[in-house]
Amino acid sequence: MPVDAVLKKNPPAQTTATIGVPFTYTITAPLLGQLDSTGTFQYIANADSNDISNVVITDDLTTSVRSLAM
Amino acid sequence: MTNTAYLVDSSGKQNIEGLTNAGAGNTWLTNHPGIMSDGTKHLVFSYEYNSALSLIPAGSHIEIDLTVVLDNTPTNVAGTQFSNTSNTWFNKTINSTNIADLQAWPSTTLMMTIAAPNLVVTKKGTNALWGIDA
Repeated sequence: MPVDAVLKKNPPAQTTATIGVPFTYTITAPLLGQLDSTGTFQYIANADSNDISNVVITDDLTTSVRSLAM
Repeated sequence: MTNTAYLVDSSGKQNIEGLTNAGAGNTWLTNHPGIMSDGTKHLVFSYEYNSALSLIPAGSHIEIDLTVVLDNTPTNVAGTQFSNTSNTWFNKTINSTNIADLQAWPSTTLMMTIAAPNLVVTKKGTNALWGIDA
């Protein structure tokens, strides 16, 4: 069953970041998606077919595999 | 940290002026333990401070372009990998029942690696400085 989802993406084709050099994340919500047969979440639609309300979008820029300060 | 936000639907992409990460009300934060809000590293874009998030019509979505920069700290060294996660909560009517505070499937970015700065140093001096006879 499809569920609502958020998608956060790095800048296209960018795999590195340098201290002091700005870069831009893109956060998109809501999208629709569902788990495939392997248990991997797949995005299947660019919007919900119903209204959604009282939306809160959070982003923790400190979370990382290792310590990160932004 | 700066952001530009858009409402995207079948008619195109419309700029949302003034979307602010001003946080959420105390009640919302209390009901979502672990979510912090400081405006710089823990961002919260809430319907309580952004009318554009009060209702996202069917067939549309919000897009936030979030420009950030790595701090110059001892822990941010070349080769360190990092990623960040975004979450969303919302209300939705399902089978005629309004269900509050649903959590969307979260999203974590692909790993990025901190790269060493590409420094360019230009050095100038007189011939005398370099020990070269004039």
